[in-house]
Amino acid sequence: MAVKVFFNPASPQEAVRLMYEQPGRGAYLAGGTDLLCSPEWPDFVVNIRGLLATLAQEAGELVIGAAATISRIAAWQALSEADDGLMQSCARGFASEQIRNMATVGGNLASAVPSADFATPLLALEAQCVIQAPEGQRTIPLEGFFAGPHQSVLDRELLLKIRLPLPSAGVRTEFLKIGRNPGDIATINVATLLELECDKIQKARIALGAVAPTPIRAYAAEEFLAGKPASDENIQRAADLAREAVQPISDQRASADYRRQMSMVLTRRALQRCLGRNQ
Amino acid sequence: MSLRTRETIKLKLKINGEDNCFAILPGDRLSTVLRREGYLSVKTGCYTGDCGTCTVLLDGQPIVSCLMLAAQAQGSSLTTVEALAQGSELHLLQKAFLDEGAVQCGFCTPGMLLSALALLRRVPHPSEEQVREAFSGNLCRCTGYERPVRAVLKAAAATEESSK
Repeated sequence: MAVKVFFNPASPQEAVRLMYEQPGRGAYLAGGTDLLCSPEWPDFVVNIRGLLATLAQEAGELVIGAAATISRIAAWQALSEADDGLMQSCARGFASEQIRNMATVGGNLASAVPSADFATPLLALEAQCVIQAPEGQRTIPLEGFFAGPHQSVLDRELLLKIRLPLPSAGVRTEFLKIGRNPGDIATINVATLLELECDKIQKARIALGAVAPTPIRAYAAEEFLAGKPASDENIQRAADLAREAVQPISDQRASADYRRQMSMVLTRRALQRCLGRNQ
Repeated sequence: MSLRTRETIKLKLKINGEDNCFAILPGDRLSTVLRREGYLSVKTGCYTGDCGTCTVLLDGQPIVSCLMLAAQAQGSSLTTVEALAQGSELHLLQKAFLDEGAVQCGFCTPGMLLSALALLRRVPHPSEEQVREAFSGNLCRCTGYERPVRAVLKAAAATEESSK
C-alpha cells in the first residue's frame, strides 16, 4: 500500500476537482497526524497543507482556515480574547508540541472521532463549517457536521474554514478533559460557555465529547439554564440533564457508567468554573 | 488524466543551512528520506507520532518527521541534531546532556535535544514545568526524564552566565 501520486493543488476548487476526477482512493492531506497513522494509505493524496491556513477577523466573526495548526490557533490573540481562552485551554492539552505544530483544526473535525478535543469548544462556540463541493460552497452548523464515529457528512468535499460568531463581551468559558495524562486522548471532554447578566444566565452552551457516537450538545441542559439565576441548585440540575443527554459506550478507556457519571461531574465543574467558583 | 504510477518527485529542501535536492517517491515519509540521505540522528520508533524520536525542526518548529510526507516539506528549512555541534565543539545543550548523564541508550536523545533547542529559542529561561511540557512529545524509557530536564535547566543557566 503506497501513495502513488502526490497532488499540490493551487486552490481549494482544484483540490476538490482532483478528489472527484482522479481514479482510485484519494485523501486530502494537511497535518498528516491522522492519515499517516492509519494502516491503509490512499492511492493518491491532495496536499492542502499551507493552502487553507489563514486566520482572519471579519465583521462579527472570526474565521479559521481548516488547515490552520493547533499551535497557531492557540497563539491567536483575537480568538483567546473573544472566547475567554476556551480554544487555547483546549489546545494546551492537545497531544504534544510536535503534534500541535502539525495537526489542523479541519483534520481534527473531519476525522470525526467522538473524542476529538477541538469539537467540543467549537460546538459550544456555535461554529459554522464552510464546505467546498464541486458545484460550489455551502455552510452548515458544526452540530450537523458529524454523522457517526469516524464519519462526517463530507463525501469527497473539502472543509474550507470554520466561522465563529463573536460571543458577547464578558462571556465565560471552560474546557475540561479526563485522560490518563494531560496530552492523552480524551476519555471524556466538556466545553461550557455562559453569558451572564447580573448573576442571571442569559445563555448557556454545553458540549460533550467521547460520550456518544459523535460530539454532542446538551440542549435540554442549555435550555434549562437560560434565564435562570446561577445558583448551585440550577447548575446541578443542568449537570443532571447533561448526564441524560449522553449515550456512552464502554471501551478500554472507561466504562459507560463512568462516562455517564463524569458527564454530570465535568459539566457541573465546568459551569461552576465559568462562574468563578473553583470546584 | 490517468493516475500516474509512483512518479519520482524532485524535493528541494534546506537542511541545516545547506540546499539539497533529492529524488523521492510520492509516499515517502520525511523521516525515511532524511535517514536515506544520511541524517541518521533522525531515529524512527513508532511511526504514529507518539515517541518523538524522529523529531526535527521544520522552519524552526519541532514536528515528528514520520507523520509528514517528504513531498509536503517542499521548499522548507529543516534542522537536525547534526547542525548543533560546530566542528568538534559541542552545543551547550549537548554538553549539558553529557555533564548531567542525561544520555543512557541515546535513542531518544536527538529528539530531546531538538525539542529543548526549540524551547530555549522561545523561552530562554524556562521553568522546570516548561521543560517537562516541552519533553511531553519525547518518550524516554531509560532516564526517567530527571537528568534530561536538569540538563536543559543547566544549559539555560549557562546561557545566562555567558550573556552577562
